[in-house]
Amino acid sequence: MRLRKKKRGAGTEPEELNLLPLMSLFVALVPALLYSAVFVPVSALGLDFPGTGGAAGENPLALAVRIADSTYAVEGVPDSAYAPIVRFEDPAAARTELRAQLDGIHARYPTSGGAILVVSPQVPYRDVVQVMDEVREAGFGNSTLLGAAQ
Amino acid sequence: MRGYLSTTARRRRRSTEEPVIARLQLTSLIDIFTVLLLFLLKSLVVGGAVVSPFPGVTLPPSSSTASFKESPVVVVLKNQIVVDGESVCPTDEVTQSTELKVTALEQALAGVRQKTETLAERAGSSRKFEGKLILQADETIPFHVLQKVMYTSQTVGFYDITLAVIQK
Repeated sequence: MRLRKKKRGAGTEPEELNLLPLMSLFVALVPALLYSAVFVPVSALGLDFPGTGGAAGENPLALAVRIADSTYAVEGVPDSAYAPIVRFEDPAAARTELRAQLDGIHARYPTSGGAILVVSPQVPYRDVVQVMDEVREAGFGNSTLLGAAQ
Repeated sequence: MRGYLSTTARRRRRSTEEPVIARLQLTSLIDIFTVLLLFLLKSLVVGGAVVSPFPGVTLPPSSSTASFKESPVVVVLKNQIVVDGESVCPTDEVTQSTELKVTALEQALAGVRQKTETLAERAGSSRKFEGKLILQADETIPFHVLQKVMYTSQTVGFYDITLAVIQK
């Protein structure tokens, strides 16, 4: 008796993957990730306070950035005086100039950290955060906030 | 005639046929889940508390990328000040005040501190009150209002204030 060779694939159906365990995993993972996901990235901006042991308190260089309604002024650098920067005409250019001054100071005093921001009462919070960014990016770390006298 | 089978014949035929197994086509659903999973993994925050901006507040943009620790939240909106989701006082009141201390805010924060300490005591936790606070303030708020809020927070013992900002 001659055995007939069975054709490969004939009569057999392709095996289907069992996707149900994968589905169960996804159903558990998606809510867990949704819970811990952030769609608007909110980050933290550190702040030091006078007398709380911040970096500015320990610093031999008493760097202060005065934020007035119309100007920025860098103070507290020994043997140097910086002209105030007018900030209301072109805020971006004023910040660039402030950054250049801060970079120059940090190059002279690379070990110094922390700066005191003396802020006028009517200055909006957004402007304060912008200066804090410039101070941090120049390498001075966190800022200490002080209110200027009215 | 083939097309006109009797009811009994039809029933007999059905019973001899193999049962039909309906299978769900999950491939497209798996595709959706895979894309969703990748998106969520990208926006996942690891090692820090998740802070969402309070409705109505426009946080200032910043280049900072630091994460938060779990702390009470004080929100300074254009029209009101909110502590842990509850309105405390109108912002105008703080703006017009000549005193640094905001009494209503002080009482609310004292309550938050007391609650935290009581919960820690009940749980037998050795962790002390750390004085951490997250401040979400609208970007247009004048600095003197924030100064009053921060001063009042410090009088209650919240010395470690972190500002919430939107990542640039």
